[in-house]
Amino acid sequence: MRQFLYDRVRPIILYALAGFFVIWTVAPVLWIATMSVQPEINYVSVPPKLSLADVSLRWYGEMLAQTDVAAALQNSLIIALSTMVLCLVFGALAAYPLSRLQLPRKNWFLTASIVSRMIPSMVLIIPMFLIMRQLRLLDTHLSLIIVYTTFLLPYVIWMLKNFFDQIPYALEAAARMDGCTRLGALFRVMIPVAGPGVVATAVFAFIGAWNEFLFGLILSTRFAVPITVKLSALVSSTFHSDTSLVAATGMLAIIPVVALVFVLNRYIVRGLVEGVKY
Amino acid sequence: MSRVSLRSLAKSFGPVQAVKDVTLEIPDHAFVTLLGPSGCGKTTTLNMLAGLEKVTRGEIYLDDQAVTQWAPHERGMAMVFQNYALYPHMNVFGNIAFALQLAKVPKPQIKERVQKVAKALELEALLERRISQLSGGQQQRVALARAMVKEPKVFLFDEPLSNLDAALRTRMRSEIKKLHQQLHATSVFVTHDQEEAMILSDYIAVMREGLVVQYGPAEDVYRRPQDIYVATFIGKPRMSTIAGHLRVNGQDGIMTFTTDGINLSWPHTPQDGSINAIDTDVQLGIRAEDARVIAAPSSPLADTFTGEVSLVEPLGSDTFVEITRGPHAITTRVEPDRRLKPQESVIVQLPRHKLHFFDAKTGKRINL
Repeated sequence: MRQFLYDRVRPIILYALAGFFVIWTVAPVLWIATMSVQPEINYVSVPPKLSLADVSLRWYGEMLAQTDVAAALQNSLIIALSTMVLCLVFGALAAYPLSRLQLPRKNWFLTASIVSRMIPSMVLIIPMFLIMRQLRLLDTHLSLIIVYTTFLLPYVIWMLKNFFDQIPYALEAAARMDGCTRLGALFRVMIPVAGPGVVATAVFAFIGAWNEFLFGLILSTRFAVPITVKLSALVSSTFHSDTSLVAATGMLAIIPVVALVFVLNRYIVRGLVEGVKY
Repeated sequence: MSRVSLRSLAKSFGPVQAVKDVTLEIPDHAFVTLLGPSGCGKTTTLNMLAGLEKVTRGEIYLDDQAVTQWAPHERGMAMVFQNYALYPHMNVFGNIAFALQLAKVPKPQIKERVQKVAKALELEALLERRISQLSGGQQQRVALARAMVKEPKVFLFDEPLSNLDAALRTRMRSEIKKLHQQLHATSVFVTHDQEEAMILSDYIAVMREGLVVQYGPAEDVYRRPQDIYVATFIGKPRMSTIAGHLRVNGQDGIMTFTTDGINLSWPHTPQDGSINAIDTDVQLGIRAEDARVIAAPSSPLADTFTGEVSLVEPLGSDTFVEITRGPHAITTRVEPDRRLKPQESVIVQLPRHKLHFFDAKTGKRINL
């Protein structure tokens, strides 16, 4: 009986729980996806009248035709990709010595870098705004790239350091014997070997920058508005009474991230679950 | 092919002194082993020689040229690592060719040299394989090929055999020995396995706590260990030791060793004729192949004692027997057809010229 419970009932319970969790997570996305391809009347009715006959992509077309939405998408893409690249470059250059060199107070630095992230963003908004105004960087991509890179870098350093830690010292020693400098060994051996981990870190940085809202709201006004800010403006705007349009914009904001994760799925899972497999 | 000279080398990691003072002259063509337990500084010494670790103090010379500050690849050395340390993101060819590519050797030449080395190590069929598709032995051979292709002046080995299973280890050990016999390249080998050291080396440097305890031809280190640490570290089975009192009478030249239950004496005739009186506590050491189990002596011999067999370990080719007398035990080697049983009473002879005496306090060899 006990064995029966273990073999048969246990998986049912586990799958039920997992299924519940998946629905819990995915349902809102599915709902917004459903909303984005049909007229508002279908889903605001009680009960909802979901019919395939009305399915259309015209709300997407309509939103993309609006230059400010397309521009916001472009802004977000530029900002997130730049942030990702800067995070990787600086992150790798910081993580490598933290992982490999004998440095005094190395752990202090690591702890300090993370503790700095415990400060609520709210506290930093005004100083950041003043700094960017002083630098005449308000409403530019660069201001947001700087801010996001600053905020994400501690996490990126920690992640990369952990991946580098898993690479045996000898591998790097071999590269140096073969003629690499330390920097050469980092780029020719450490980073390629830590590949999946580096990809996972890159995706983390990209998503972090893509999803940010607060600083985007404060530091941009017209030219550098990211999609998150644009989306919120649409939701609260009285001009767009059509919820389908907002839903379509929401989907547009999700798609790049989903696409990225989908393409790199294999590496992300390996990087996060297995770590660096040497 | 090169001479290497380490002069007063030292390395500290913060407050920890990993290597305190190492001076070694490594002759051309020699195969030298740094032997010692983990933490004795042997790998750190090798890493300093390779240029992977900066030296805290001391100098390294390669053919009379100071290379202490040179980068690893400028020293013309190649290293074989413990876990192979092959690049997992490259195939076999890429691994072997990497150093040549970095040195900007022309492509056709790289190909030729890789082919040559691959042929010598029977890797030709594997050049396109990924590292993860290779067996342990194949990976080891790729690691050797990667070192050989550079045609280095000095080969460095950092415990390259310790991760292999017993059968493969023996095979790779022979392969390394053959390689050295063919190439005659100066080699420095690090290991904690004294058997490996004995089999491979021309010279052995026994290390402990950051110092070289003894450095010399392998045979010497085995035959004339300079202290009790070296004596018991080298040799399998371990050298037996008995604590006791050594007395040499300055007049008649009789040497006696006494401890509870055992009284031994030998005529003492040093080569130069001078006899120094000695009266001190010692550790007597004897190797298993030197202590003899004999039939009842025809006349009572002074260099024998009666003991009881406490353990019999037949290996097939040899049998090792542990013989105890009171609190003392020694291990001897006997012919396999000599069937001794536990509890059997036997007579053990300790021949004068096979004995080692070490000062009980300092552990240093007492030369008689």
